[in-house]
Amino acid sequence: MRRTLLYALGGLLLAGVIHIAIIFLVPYFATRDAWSAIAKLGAEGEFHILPLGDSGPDTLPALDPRLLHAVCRFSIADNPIRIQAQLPSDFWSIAIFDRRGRNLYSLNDRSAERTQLDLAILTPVQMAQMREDPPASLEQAVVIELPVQAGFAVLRVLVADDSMLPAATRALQGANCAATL
Amino acid sequence: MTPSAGRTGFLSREILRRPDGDFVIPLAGDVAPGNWLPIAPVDRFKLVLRLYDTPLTAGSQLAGVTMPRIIAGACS
Repeated sequence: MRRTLLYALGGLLLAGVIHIAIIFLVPYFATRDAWSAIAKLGAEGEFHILPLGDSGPDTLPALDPRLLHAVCRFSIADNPIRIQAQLPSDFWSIAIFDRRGRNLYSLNDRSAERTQLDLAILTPVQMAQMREDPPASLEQAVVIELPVQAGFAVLRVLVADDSMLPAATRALQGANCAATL
Repeated sequence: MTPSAGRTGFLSREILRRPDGDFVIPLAGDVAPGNWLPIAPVDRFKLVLRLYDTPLTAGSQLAGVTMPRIIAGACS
């Protein structure tokens, strides 16, 4: 009986120690996600081009060294946004992620069937409002409804060889993720 | 890992294939014929196969797909 109590007490103490240790580690892990890494690159509403190749452990890990990546944090809490870019005719893709890095939407050169990227992102409420009076400017755009207030977009362009790098860089520099409808 | 020759991988469109469509990628520190992928003298490294815009993304088609084999060679 006594021994059982002792074990129970020991177990409780150990659980307490582990609990406290985990709590102290929370700030460390909470800031080591893709959202925080992208936040360090610069302001919201702009595409930031990541260096080609292994960008190191402090940014986004395990990126494909043959693709040039640009990332943009956006918020559609107040107004819908529109992502526009003129991309090379080779492989490219755009992927939209939520705040926690879950993939919500993606589009690539083959599914878009053109090199002009024009993607409007709206919340369900904004979508309902937009349907009442669809602006003519959205005729050519891909319009998607996402159940989030904020997220980030990753635009990837294939760099088939070094000579394609300037064109890919120009395309990503010209990409806009804060255009209005 | 930063390989000395500046080559980090192959695209499907540029890899050298055998007549039946197979490909072999020798990973070695020293120059090798064919699709040589230079590796720095490290103990561990990671090989990544990335598939973009492939019909395989629908999980139902994953059965019956042959993945590349990795065969350990001899030290030289």
